[in-house]
Amino acid sequence: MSTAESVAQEHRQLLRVGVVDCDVHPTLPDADVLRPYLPEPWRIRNTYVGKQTYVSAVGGMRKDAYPSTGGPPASDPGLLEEQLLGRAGVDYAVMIELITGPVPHPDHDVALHSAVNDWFADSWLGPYNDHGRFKGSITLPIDSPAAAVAEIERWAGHPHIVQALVSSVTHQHLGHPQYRPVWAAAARHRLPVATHAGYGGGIDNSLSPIGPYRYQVEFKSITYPQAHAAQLVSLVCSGIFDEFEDLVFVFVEGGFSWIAPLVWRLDNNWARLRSELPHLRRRPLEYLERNVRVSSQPIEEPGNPKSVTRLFDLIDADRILMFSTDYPHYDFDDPTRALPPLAPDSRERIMWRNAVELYGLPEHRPSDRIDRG
Amino acid sequence: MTVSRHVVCPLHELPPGTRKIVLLNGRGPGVGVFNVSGRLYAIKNTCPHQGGPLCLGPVCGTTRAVWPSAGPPQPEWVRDGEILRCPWHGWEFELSTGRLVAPLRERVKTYDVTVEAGADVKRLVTYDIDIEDGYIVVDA
Repeated sequence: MSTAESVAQEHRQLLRVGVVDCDVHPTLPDADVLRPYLPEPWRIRNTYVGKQTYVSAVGGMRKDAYPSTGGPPASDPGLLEEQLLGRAGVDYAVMIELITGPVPHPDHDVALHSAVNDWFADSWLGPYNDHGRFKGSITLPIDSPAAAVAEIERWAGHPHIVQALVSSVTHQHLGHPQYRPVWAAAARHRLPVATHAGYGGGIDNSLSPIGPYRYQVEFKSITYPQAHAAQLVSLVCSGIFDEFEDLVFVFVEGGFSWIAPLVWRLDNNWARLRSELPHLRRRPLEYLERNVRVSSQPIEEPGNPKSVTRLFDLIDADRILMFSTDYPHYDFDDPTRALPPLAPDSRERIMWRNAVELYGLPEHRPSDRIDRG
Repeated sequence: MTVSRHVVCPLHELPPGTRKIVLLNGRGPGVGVFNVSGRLYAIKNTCPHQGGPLCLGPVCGTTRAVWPSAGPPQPEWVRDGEILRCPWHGWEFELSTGRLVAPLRERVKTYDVTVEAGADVKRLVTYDIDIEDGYIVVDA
């Protein structure tokens, strides 16, 4: 067989997708990489001003994810491919670029988000993406809504962009009318909107409703879900899913165990106080399946895995849960080990089908150099 | 199903803006009979939610959403006098149908209510009253 024939044959080989990872965090090899994408007066400054309020006691990263070439974890496509697409068997990696969180000066915030999108398209979604298995998010400077709309308009239609991304740390709850043009733009382009905890120059999810926590453990345990819970309730109650009926929000890395009891409580209050929200065309519970998806990592790990299975039933996980690893962070979930025992159909929906349907990804993909080792 | 007829009272004993809770066959929780601006309604006095005494609640209107061409939806007060709100948890029912305003399945039983001339109903009552107007009759 000639080389050409062999290549052609390999290209004909289609693989059934088995894992879509909905939370992967690529980053810059070093902050200077972003500099050419920034206009002055921001270029001359250090490009990334974010500092986390809480720092992990074990370091933020998987210790085996540091590239031998230098740079931080998930800055080198070769090692990410080897560990995530190769060993962990991820077919598509949906990338959430946490390069910048919200920063205080709005112009700086807009410039940074825009620069990240440019750099990301020029690297992970460009030359690094010969296999097409990297899917990207448009990171939005959400507290400058007009600029956020402009970013959506700039990137919608890119073949590997699958969603918009906003920090869950915002100046107002996401149901506030000031953000409405952003949701209108996302809906117009049929882009789901992911929300993930954001870090940045002193603006982050560091506070509880009763002040700062002492420990990162407290912060990790409660803050992410708390922000997501507030944003979810706000979006539902403000009628965002009535105005934009097909808009889907993806709540990333904030857990899912809280969703059922929260929405039951919301449902109950709505039945009594409906006249305050006449714009809701459905009971709050019904928006979950239509308009909400949640990522799985960090999956709850109670002593008895069957407890998680029961929880899956309560939240209708078959419909709303999407698997994620959070690679390369230290709280990574492995695709082969993280989920509890499940019926095959449920496993399939959570591991890939829900994501494939949401993001419009093909169910089969051609084998590539990573499959061939 | 057999319909049983129940004479409530002469119409003048239930002027507009008033209500009576009547026990059918002497048993509770009964049926609320309402005169709202001359329109008569009869509805079961039990909320399907947690069994509250529905007919003790306020008769009022409700809100509907008005969607401007841009911007968030605004509430508008509508249907004044058509809504019965449970006194316990505020669930809103349409007096005429027993349906919830909210898109939920629960429903309250409503009954046909008519005003009939005294002669027609005399045989249904065990006493004879000399009145000018008709009687309110609930078909349950």
